[in-house]
Amino acid sequence: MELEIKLFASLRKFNSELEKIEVGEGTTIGELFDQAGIPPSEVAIVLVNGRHATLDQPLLDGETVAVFPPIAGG
Amino acid sequence: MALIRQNEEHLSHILAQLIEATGEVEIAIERLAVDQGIPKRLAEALACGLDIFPKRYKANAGTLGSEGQKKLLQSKVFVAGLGGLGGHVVEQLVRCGVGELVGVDPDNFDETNLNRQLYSEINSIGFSKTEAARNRVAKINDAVEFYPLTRKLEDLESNTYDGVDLIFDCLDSIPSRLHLQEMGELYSIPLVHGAIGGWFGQVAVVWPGSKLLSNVYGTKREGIEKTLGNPPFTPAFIATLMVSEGIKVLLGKKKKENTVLFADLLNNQWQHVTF
Repeated sequence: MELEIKLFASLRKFNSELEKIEVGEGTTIGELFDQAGIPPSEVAIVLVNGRHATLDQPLLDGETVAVFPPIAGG
Repeated sequence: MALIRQNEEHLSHILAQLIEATGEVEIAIERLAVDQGIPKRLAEALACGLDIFPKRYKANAGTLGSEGQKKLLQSKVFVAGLGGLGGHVVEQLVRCGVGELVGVDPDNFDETNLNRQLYSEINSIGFSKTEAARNRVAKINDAVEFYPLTRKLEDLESNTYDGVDLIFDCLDSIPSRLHLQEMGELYSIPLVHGAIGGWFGQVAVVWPGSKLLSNVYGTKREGIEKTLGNPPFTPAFIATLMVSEGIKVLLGKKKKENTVLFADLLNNQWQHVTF
């Protein structure tokens, strides 16, 4: 199945061009990160089709995954 | 405050007479404050109640309106952290004419602050951030009252939050930010959150009970700033967004929603995330 992945801010360094990615049926968000080379330690927020999601959530064909890093400086 | 509210009509009447007699709003305000033993910020608020703007707020008039300016002069705002974000936040709040500011920071300036922290100067290295903020506020607006607390946020007494209308989270650690969120929740005070790292930043209004920051940070206890550092332009930009959000909260112009705005100044991308 095909997913769209949007990396935000510092996470773009892992793949600034990456938009569409082909993965196996039932792939979870955690497995998607493995495949796309995104370390989960650098991820704070994951949205699937605009809704807050967790790493163990399985994905469906055509969904959009948006990923944000933790920002905490002042 | 309660006494002043009761006497508002009476004091406004005296102020109107003083303005007529002296022909100068600023002199009338000064006189009213001294004669009646009230803080200058409240005398200014009374002038705004008469739809008369002290000159230092004239340029705010078209944006805030006299009712809005009056509301700000009667507001008390708590600024946690007086570093990169906090310096710019204080600077704008005092120029807006927010009547009372509580500034909290346990630290002294060091040389690594000079690239971005508004109140850090070569001459202020080694001196406290709260004192620098207090001196700056006094130079800009002598009607604004600034209460410096050179202490760790976690060590403050609960009465520190008495009468506070709004909290600004300008901190630099996730555990402290979560503590501040708890205080906002405990005392039912909305909180404006801002955070920076490299070219990137985020801003949100945290309404009591929303636990928005817990959702934003999850299990994370460190951010990207640990590797990217903080250049000067990101805190100034994020602080500006924080202040405009905060002013909207104080004036009742902010919709209650649990949304974080992410700003990417490298690619000029802005993204809203709603929880």
